[in-house]
Formats: sequence, structure tokens, C-alpha cells
Amino acid sequence: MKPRTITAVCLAAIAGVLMIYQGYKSMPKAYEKTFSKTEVPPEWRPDVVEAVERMAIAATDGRVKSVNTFAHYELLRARGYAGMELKVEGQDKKRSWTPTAWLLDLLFYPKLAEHYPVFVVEDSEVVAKLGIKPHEKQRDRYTFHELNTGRAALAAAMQRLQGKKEEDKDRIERLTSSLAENFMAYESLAQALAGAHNQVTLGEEVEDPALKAMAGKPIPVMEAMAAFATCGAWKDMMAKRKAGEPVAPPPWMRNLVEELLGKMGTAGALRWYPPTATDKENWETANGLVNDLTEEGLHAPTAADKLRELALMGALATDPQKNGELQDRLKAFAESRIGEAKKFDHYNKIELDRTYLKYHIFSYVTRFFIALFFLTAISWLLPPWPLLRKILARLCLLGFAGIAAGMTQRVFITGWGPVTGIHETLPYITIIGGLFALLLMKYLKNPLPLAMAVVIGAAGMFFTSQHELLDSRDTMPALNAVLRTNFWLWTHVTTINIGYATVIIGAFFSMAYLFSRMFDIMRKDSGFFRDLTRTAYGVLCFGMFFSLIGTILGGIWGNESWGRFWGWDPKENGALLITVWCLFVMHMRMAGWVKEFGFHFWNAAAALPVMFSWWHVNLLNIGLHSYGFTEGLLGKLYIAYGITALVLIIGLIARFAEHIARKQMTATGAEKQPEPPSAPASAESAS
Amino acid sequence: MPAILRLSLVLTTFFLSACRPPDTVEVVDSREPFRDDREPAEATEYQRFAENTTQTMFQWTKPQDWRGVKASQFREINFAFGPSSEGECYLTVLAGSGSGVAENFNRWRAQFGMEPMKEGEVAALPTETFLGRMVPALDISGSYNPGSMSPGGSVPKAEWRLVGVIMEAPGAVITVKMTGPKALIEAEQENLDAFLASVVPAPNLR
Amino acid sequence: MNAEPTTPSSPSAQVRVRGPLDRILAVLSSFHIACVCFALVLILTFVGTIYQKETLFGLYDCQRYYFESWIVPRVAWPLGIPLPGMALVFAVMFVNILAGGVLRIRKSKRTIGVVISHLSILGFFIAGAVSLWTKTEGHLQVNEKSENSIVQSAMDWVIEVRELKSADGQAPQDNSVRFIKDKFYRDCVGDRTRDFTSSVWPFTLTVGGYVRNAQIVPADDPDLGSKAPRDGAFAILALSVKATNEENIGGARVEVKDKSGNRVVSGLSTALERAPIVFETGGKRFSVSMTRERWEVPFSVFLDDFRAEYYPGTRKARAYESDIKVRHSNGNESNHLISMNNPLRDSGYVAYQTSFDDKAPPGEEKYSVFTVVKNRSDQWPLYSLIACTLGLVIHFVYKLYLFLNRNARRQEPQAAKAL
Repeated sequence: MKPRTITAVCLAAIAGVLMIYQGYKSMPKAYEKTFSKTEVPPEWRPDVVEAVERMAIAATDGRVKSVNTFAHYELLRARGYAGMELKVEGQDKKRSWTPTAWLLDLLFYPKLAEHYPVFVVEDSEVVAKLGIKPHEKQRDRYTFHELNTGRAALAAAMQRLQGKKEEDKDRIERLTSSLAENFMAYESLAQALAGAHNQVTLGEEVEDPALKAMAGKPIPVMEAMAAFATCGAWKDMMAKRKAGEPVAPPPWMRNLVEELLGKMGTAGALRWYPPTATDKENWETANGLVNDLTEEGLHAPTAADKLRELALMGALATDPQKNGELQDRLKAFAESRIGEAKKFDHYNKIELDRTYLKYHIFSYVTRFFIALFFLTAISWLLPPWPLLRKILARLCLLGFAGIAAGMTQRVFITGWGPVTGIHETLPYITIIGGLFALLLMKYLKNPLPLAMAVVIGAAGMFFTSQHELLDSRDTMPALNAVLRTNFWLWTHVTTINIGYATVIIGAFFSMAYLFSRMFDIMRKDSGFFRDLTRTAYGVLCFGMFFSLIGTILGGIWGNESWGRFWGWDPKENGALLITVWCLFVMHMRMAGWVKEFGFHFWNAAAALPVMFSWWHVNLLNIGLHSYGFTEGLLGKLYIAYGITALVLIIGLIARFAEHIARKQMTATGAEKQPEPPSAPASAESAS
Repeated sequence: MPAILRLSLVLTTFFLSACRPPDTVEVVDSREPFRDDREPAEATEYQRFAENTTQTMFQWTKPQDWRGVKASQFREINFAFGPSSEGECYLTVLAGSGSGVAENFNRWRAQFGMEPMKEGEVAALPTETFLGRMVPALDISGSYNPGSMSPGGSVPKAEWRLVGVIMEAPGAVITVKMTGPKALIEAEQENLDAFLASVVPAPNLR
Repeated sequence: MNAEPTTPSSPSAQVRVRGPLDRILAVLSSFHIACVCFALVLILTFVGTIYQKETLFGLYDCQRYYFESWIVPRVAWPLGIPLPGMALVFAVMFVNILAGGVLRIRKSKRTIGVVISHLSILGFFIAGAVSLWTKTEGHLQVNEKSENSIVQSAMDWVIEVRELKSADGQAPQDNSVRFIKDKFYRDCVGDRTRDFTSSVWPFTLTVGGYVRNAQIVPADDPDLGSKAPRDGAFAILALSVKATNEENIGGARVEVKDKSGNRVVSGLSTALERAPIVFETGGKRFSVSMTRERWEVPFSVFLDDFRAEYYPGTRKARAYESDIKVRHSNGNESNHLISMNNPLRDSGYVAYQTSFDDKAPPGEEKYSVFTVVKNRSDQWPLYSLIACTLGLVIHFVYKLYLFLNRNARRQEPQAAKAL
């Protein structure tokens, strides 16, 4: 091996070690505490958990989804991982919680769940500033109980940061506000059944026979609420009011309502009671039932029974002996919700939605591709072995089929095209790019296309899961009115993303060229560089075609939807940048401005406009395609820009070094070295 | 390449020189009047820039050394005067409030800590000419406390004077109230008279 | 596009240069010009995107400065060398493509796809130019159960001058409403003024003191600068210009002089004024006022019903749509449904559902807002797209065919050798 090749290998090794170290550093410490048996609730039976997972819920983002999906994102957002494993006394293996199991603990055993480490804090400085005792590790998980000691400081920080724009906050401030949001979301969930856990004792002053019968002993608030809203005194008063008679409630009634409402909690997140009509939209929470009951809304006829049902389950949760009964009742509860939703046609695709995150295909594919990546890397160190290459290619295809399966499932769940938001562009571009690279194996007889396909698969799926984690929001959100058109989602959006994918592939090939020039890889094989150039040029043409068509299709959509073919919106401009960049490179070659090296240099730089258009313009917070600010994304984007720039600089150095070497050669009158591998660029044909 | 350079140079100079439009321009754009376009009526500048409907209902002349102040609720035509704008004068239209002349005068008197007027006292007040009619005028002095509702806060102002008129119109009561330090009001009395005399109903707009 | 020259120089090498006309054409068609233009498009697009941030110029100004200008103005390009605007770049590209990609390119079955796609790109440029210069776009706001036919521009201000009935009740001689678009007085800031005349006016109208976001205040307002436009008891306070141009309200000072140069009337005018300035000169009466540019469409839109559907538990609209009746002056009436992605096309106009207010307080009407566009080149991009796709597909399929053929030929002898 040549010294420069060795340098390349060493550099790659150092980069690998650095990455692993970084990964280790950001890994939270394993939670060391061993919970005693009384510190955790009894385990939920799998059939109970499954029944609850199957329930439909109308989340605050507007989508009706399965409880599994809902709980997944709640836990993911707070904990940075949609699952939990803890050591429990008397169990050899760690006990693990699915998101739904955690949610059930939170609902029925809020006092115990307080001690679960569910809040990931990215930087211990955040908690230190709130007066909470920081853990040893910079990034670590905290319990609600711990954070609650800094509650006042957190509320104050929240208030202070509310008016500030995301861009103006510093890192600690951004982390603090997201922690505060997670804290509040958690509390709102933990209070969802407060009315079943809290108790009230009716006094003797109640002037209603039904209520009087209950007086004197503590009962769950929800039970009292149900009794009150159906009692004679209240009904009489409402009847009089309906008749137009101005009646004021007597003092006992006013006091009682105040106490009951105060103890019901303020939860608003769990809207799991489906509307009892086909075309109605109002899903209700337990607290919403109370309003329906007192104001004779949609859910009124069954609301009292539903409140009593919750009250009973709350009471059962206090007695460990009755856990079996609780689980039975919970299962029945979930099943009757599912029945209600099905009856009025509100249960479409919930089953499919549950399985999506339950058997998250993408997460398996990610691991598969990372394994495949190492396998391919090893295969490079071995002598060429065509069969292994063939097997790897098949495996790679299998991986892409996995992504396709996941995307198909998403299409069936949402009912819309494969790409409806920025998140979905990641798996989509991964597939397109990867398959394209595999296709090139047919024409480029060297290991590069396969390696590229594997790298694209691994990196693409890694970024997909990273983005899901970073955003921690449902990746299938309710669509804006303007996006609700399958025709354009299937034409413009798919085409433009094929454009992104292929231009990136072309840029990767050119980067490979620059790298090879620098580190003398494949120098002996003169055909290597020629093939690479032809391939990159062909891919560029392909990418130009799809970017151009996709960009114009977007204009036509704009014209059809709001009468503007082109509005110089940042996303449109980004697409234009990519297209024009491709045309620029092609025409520079035809004009003779660049030869082989120059072509690859500019083609590799095409990654910059793609990154700008794909990600950066969304972060500018302007225009129609703005998706809002995602913490940490901009930094990662700058790293990507930096890496591209580095490759370009490496290329320039290689070029310069060759230039000097040739000059010295001529000066010393040395024998003519074999020409650097650059056949006249224009003489080649492109596919 | 030189040919291109020359070309671009020519183009650049051409477009640079074409930048500035001439000083006189013939108007070329026109349109037909809309199907139900009514002709606008003449309006004073106060009406054209009126901040509220009251301002569109009247025409008036602002005394020279007074300053216009942004209108607010209950101060629909609003002025300030004096070295540091401590003098105020504003016109208010209380539409359909049901309160009459006596109630409003008594409200003002209360701000000076005075008892309500007895029956007949209103009739005995001096009069001013306002909107073409003789209307009763109140002139009181003392310690002025407009109450916490007023921007001045509830700190009483000593040696203050109020001059105001109230006119009862069908369905509305129109008041003009001027307050300020005693000496300032003394000097501004003439301006108030001039202002009151200048107020006339506006010709109908549109 | 991929013209596949056999030498690195431009295709001009392929066609022999004859007369001086050919020589000019050869220069105009050069690949060098194409490359320079592409580079300029990249720079303009990038800068024009970055500067759209609210704290900088905003979309509207970026469009004017970078994309609709011949030369990018100083404010938007701090470097000393002047930067051509997108209009100039596109104009040069148009000539370049026409000369190089259509006229001078060697025509054969190898290049037919390239020629078609170049032609289609010319189609885009023409559609864009027609749209830039002739397209009208404005908002039509219709309250529920009422009708409207007057469209109002969200962007452009005009000064309208209209002849009124004379003092003795005679009908006006000139029935048209004359108006001056803001592009004619946008530069009249500070002391700068411009005179406007018309053959039907017995006067000259002088416009000055233009302010993009104006507020009328009393002339003695302490916030006013010494150069603020004043007239009578009022003055124009220049508020900071908003990045979203729809939120700016223009204002200016106008003065009317009769034929002999005597001042007839002067005044301030902003789009928020309640009434125009009315004056009399040469025996005629006129009104002058600043307003958003308005025009009437040849039909009126009656809003029967407006509906917005929301995702459960949110204020995020799933869909919104308007049931409307379109009434023509000849008495024809037809029912339509306008919704997102489903506009109304009538008499050359297209009306799109844009915005709405469905939670008006009691006593106020719900309303629906439509963007009404008249654009001659409405469907041209679609035709160009079809042509462009066709051209590129022809070209690339042909290239692929050549490539595969060659590959096959190359592999055959190798296979033979292996045997």
C-alpha cells in the first residue's frame, strides 16, 4: 500500500474512534437504583396492554391515532427513548416498560411513576440553574420527583423565555424551555385521572336526598361528580333555567361544584372517548365528560356511567389485592372504547397505526443496514470475492425493500402520498438514492456503487431515526388543507425528491473521485476514473431532469392552488438552485471551462445546494414551506456543510500536489510519468 | 471573451442609464368607475383623517397654539395646550347614555369635591354659544381629582380650573371640557370660545 | 442541455461562421454567456432567499431588488461591482438559448431532444415575462349572504383622480377614473417630487413625500422628523417598514396646480383616509385619493355559505370551502364550489380560496377571501413542461440507447476472450 492510502485508512480510523467516543459520551448512565417491589406497580398483563394500545385517541396535533403511537411520542419526547428498563428487586433481568405500560403506570399509579427516570436532560447545567442537584454525567435522565424540587424556578424560567424567539435563545435556554414543556405535558397526563384518585367527602349541608345518602364518607371525585350531575336538585335547576327562569344555585351547590372541579385536575391530553355520531369531531377527555354531562352535550347519556367506571378503577388501583380486577376492568374499558369508535366509523386504520410503531420496521432496517455497513467494510479488506459482493447486493436490496414496506404502511395509514412532510423525505430519498446506486452496479464494475448503496442505506436510516428523536413529534401529523391532494403529493413531491436523491448520488460519486485522486486509491486502474466520470455525468443528467421537472411541477401546483406559478419562496428557490447548479456544471463542461477534475469538483459541490434546499430553507422561518425550528438541526447541517467543504478542499490539495509534482518532473527532466488519469473530458460520452 | 465583455458593458450602461424616471409623467392608467360607485363629498382634513365617527360628524378649527392629541374613548376630539401640555380640552359624544346635563355637570363637580347642584341651579348657569345654540357652561376651580380612570392617576391637582359646556341633542349628550392650572385656563379662555364657535356639523360624507 | 460537442469549445465550432450577422449570433450563442448567466442566477437566487428573513428585506422587497430588477439596487448589494438583476440575466439567457440552443445548434436526430427542451425553456421565459408585465392579482372579500365584484390589490398603491359632478350639477366630461401606480412615485421620498399631467386635466398633480408605511398624525407630533411631509394640521409619520408588504400602508403629499401654476389645493393622502381631497379648478371638480389598487371583475361573487372543517380538538383547518353564485351582468347566474386546490375559472379570471373568518362576533358577518388572478400565461408553463419533459426524455433515451449499445459491443469481445 502506498503511504497516502495508509494515511486515508488512518484518518478514517481516527474519525471512527472519535464518533464512537462521542456516542459513548452522550449515552446516559444506566439507572442504577434497584426498585423495591412496593416501589413499582404490578406488571400489566400483555393482553391488557394490547387492548389499551388498540384504543383510539384524538391527539392535540389533530390526528386520531392509537394509544400506542400516542404513548410512544409522549415517552420519546420526555425520555429520548420510547421505552424504559429498570432493575426491580427479585428479578434477574431488568423489567422493561413499553410506552403504553408506562402510560398506564402514570395514569393509575402517578405517585410511584414519579420516581421513574423519564426526563432526559441534555446538559446538567440546565438543572443546576434551576436549583436541582445535577447528576454526574452531562447528559442524564431525571425523575419527575427530582425535577419537582425546581418547579418554581422552572415555571419562572418558562415565563421569562416565552416571549423570546427560538433563534434568539442560547443553547441552555432552548434546552430549559423544552424541558419545561416536557414537564408540563407530563403533569397534564399524570392528572388525567386525578378525579378518580382524589377523594371528597360530602357534607350534611347538601340538600338533595341522593347526595345526602353518600355524605359522610370519602368517595372518588368522579363518582361524586356523576352523582351530582344526575341529582334531582341540579336537574330541577337546569329545567327552570331552560324555561327562562333566572335561578341562582344555592350556596351548598356552588361550594360543591367548586370543590369537585378543583379536584378534577386540569388534564386535557387524553381524548379517548370517541364522538357518538359519525360526522362529529368532538372527542372527549374525562374532564370533558363533566361538561357534557352538565350541559347535556353529545356524551351526556353515558357520561355518568363512564365517570363511575373511572372512579372504580381508580379505587381498585389503591388495593394491591384487587390488581387482577383492575386489569380486567381496564381491558373491558379499552374494548368498549374500541367498540364505540368502530360503531361510528372513527376507528379507521387505528389497528394499522398501532402496529406501525409497535413493530417499527424502520428501526430494524436501521440496525440491519449498520450491520451490513460493517460487513461491507470488512469485505473491502478481503481479496475480491464476487459471490460475497452478490450476496451483499441482495442483502442491500432486502434492506431497501424493508424501507419500502415501512413507507407503504405509512401510505396506507395516512391515505396520502409517500412524502407529506420533511421527515418522510429521509426514508424516501434513502430508497431512491440506494436503489439508484445499486442499479449503477450494472454499469460500474467496481465496488463503489455497492459501498455507496450500503452507506446511503445506513446513513439515511440513521438520520431518519435521529430526526424522529430530535423532533419527537408524530411523523404522520394532520396535513394542512393545501397539502390534502394526492395528485400533487404523488407527482411534484415524489419527483423533486428523486431529484434531490440523484443529485446527491452524483455528488457522492464525484466526492469519491476527489478522494481517490488525493489518496491514490485505484490509481493503477485507468478505467476507474473514466468510468467514474461517465457515471457521475449520467447521474447528473438524471438528477437535473428530475429536479427540473419536479421544480416546474411545483410551480404548476402553485398555479393551480393559489394562482402563482412562481413566488420566489425559499423552498422554490432551493429547488431552482439545485436545477441551475446541475445545468451550470453541464454547460461549464461543454464550454470547456472545466475538464475532468473541475467537473467532479463542481459536481461534488452540488451537495451544498441540495442540503440548503432540503433542510436549510425550512429553518429560515420564512415562506410557505416553513416547518418550524427544530433544536439542534442547524448545527448538524453546518457540520454537513463543513464535511462537504473539507472534501472539496482535499480535492483542491490533490490537484495542487499533482500540479507541483508534474512541474518538478519537467524541471528535473525526469522521464515522463504516466499521465494523471484525465482523458479529455468532453471526449467521453455520458449516459 | 472580449466580445462578451464589450456586450455586457454596453448592456450595463444601457440599463443603468434607464433607471431614473423623468420629472413629468403623463398619466396613462385609467379604469371605468365601479358599477355602484357614489361620488365622494367634500371633507375637511380632520374628517379625512378622522380617528372615529365623532370626528367625521363635525368641522372645527383648532386654535393655533393647541396641539392635537390622539383620540381615545370619551375623548373623541382631543387637544392639549400649555408649556408642558398640562392643559386639556376634549369633546365627547355620549350617545344614548340617558344621562342629562345635570348629571354630567355633577360628575364634573364631584371631581372637584363639590356637592351636586340643587334643582334650578343648572338653569341659572351662564351660557355659551355652541353648535349654534345657547348651552349652559360650568366654570369651577379647586383641587381636581379625575379619579383612577384618568391617565393623570388619582393624585389631586391643586389650584386647578375646569370650564365646560354640555349640549343635549336628540339621543346624545355632547360635552366639551377644558381643564388645567388656573392661570393657564384664564389665558386660554379665548381659544376655547373660538373653538366652540368653530364647531359646526359636517356635510354628509359619502 | 447536453449537446455533446466533440471538442471542448461551443457548438459554434460546428457551424461555419460566415457573415457579420453570423458572427454576432456566434457571440450571442456562446456557452460562456450561458455559464456566466447560470452563475449569476445561482448568486441572485441564494442572496434573494437569505435576505427574505423578516429582519432583513422580506419577500416583497427581495422580489423587487433581485428578481424583477435589471440591476440590483445599492441597498441590496453592498459590493462595489454592480450585480445584474434576474430580469436582465433572464433576458440575456433568452437570447443565448435562442441563438445557441435553437438557431445555431446542429439539427440532427441526435439533438432534436435538446432543441425541444431549449424551446420549452424559452416558453417558460415568455410565460414569466407575460405574467410579470400583464398579470393582475388581488383579493376579493365577500361577506356571507352578500356579493362583491371589486378586487383589491394586496401590494400596490395607486393615486386615483376622478372628475366629479360640477358645482352646478353638470355630469363629468371624463367618466374614467385616472390613476397613478406607485412605481411612478415610489422614489419620491423626502424633498423629491414628480409632476403628473393628463390631456383631460386642467391641472398638474405633484406627488412627493412618499412614505411606505405611513401614519397620519397632528403636525406638531414630537415624533416627527424635520423632513416629514406636512400639510395643514397634519403630517405623515413614517413607521418602520414591515417585511410583509401587505401590512404596510402607503402615504404621500399631493399638490394640485392649475395651468398657470397657481396652487389650487394640497393635502396628505394615505390609504386609510376616510374621504378623498376634493377640489375645483378650470370649472370642473375632481377628487384625488390614495388607495389600494382596485379593479372590478366582469361578474360578481355572491357568497352563499362558507364552511371550515377542523381536525378534532384543534383550530387547524382540514378543509375550507365556499359555496358561491357567480352573477354576470347579462343576468346569467351559476353555482360553484371553491375550495383549496379547486379554483373557479370564469371570463379569463381564476378565483382561489385564500383565507376566511368563520368566528366573527355576533353582528358581524363571516367572510371568505378569494385571490382573483388574471394571467394570460396561466397554462403556458404546463404546455412548456410537457414539451420539456418530452425533449429531455427523447434525448436521454437516445443517449441511453447509445450507451447500452456500446457497452454491449464492448462486452462481447471480452466475453469471447474469456471463453
